[in-house]
Amino acid sequence: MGAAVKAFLGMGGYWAYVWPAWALAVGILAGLYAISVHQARRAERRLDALGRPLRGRGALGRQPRGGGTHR
Amino acid sequence: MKAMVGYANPARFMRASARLLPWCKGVTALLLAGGVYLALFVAPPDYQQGESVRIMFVHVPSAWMAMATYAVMAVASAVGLVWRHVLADLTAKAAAPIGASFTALALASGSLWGKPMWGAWWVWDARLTSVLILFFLYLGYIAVWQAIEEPARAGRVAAIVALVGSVNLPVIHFSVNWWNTLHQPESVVRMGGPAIDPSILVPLLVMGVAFFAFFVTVLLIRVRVEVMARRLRAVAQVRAATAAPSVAVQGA
Repeated sequence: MGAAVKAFLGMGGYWAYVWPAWALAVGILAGLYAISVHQARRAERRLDALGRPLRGRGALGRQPRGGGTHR
Repeated sequence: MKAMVGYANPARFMRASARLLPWCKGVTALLLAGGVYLALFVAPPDYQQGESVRIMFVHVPSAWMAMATYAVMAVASAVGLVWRHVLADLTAKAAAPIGASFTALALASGSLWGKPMWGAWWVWDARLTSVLILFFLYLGYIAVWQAIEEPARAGRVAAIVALVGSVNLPVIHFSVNWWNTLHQPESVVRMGGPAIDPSILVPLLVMGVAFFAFFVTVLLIRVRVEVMARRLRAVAQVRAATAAPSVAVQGA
């Protein structure tokens, strides 16, 4: 079991290249998603504050928590 | 076309995208989970590259999406220029950071694969150089939107930048045929079928579809952000315009 995990993590000697590539992929994609969601929530909050009935069912595709002023 | 024009209405787009987003997120999560499992645990090591082939499962889909995103941006820019659809401009604007991220990932992961396979982090090869130019085109496009304050004018200038830059897409695609390059020739979409064994091709395609689903999901979120930002600007302008006369009266 331990040897299998070690072999998997070792990636046939290429671990120093394979894992950074995957870490970059996770970091860039997760970061892009998180920033986009954060911006959407911030814009939604600002619109809520203005009471503008624009956003259908919330910026992220769901009902705003606790209801919005735009209902 | 009629349906497209209908969805060019921002309010209708907001309603439709709100319904669509949970499905997009679910499909993306499933595809990414399946793709990662196939790429890391099921696909065998390559007979030449060994385990370093696993870098290809993030490098190739990100390179595909780097080009596809620019194509989406160029088409949206053309639609924005010709038909003056607000949503087309906003779609192009929203796509740019996603495309820049995919391009950065393609360049970085390619570099991490190049060191053990070619013995160099970077070579001024036609394919690598044209993809680096694509990255700069994305940055230039984003900079235009940042530099010009008036959104309509920024949209027009950025659209021209996007359309001029689209010349680079066929250069990237055919660079491996037109010049002697270190980069391997086309191996998936080519005459005579893919040159890759199905045990590696299937995980690669699943990751490709997963990256595409991720793109659609993030694009929908970012277009929604742009629509809301535009509405916030409009409200701020109306408030400034209505506040100005009262200030003038008070001043008098």
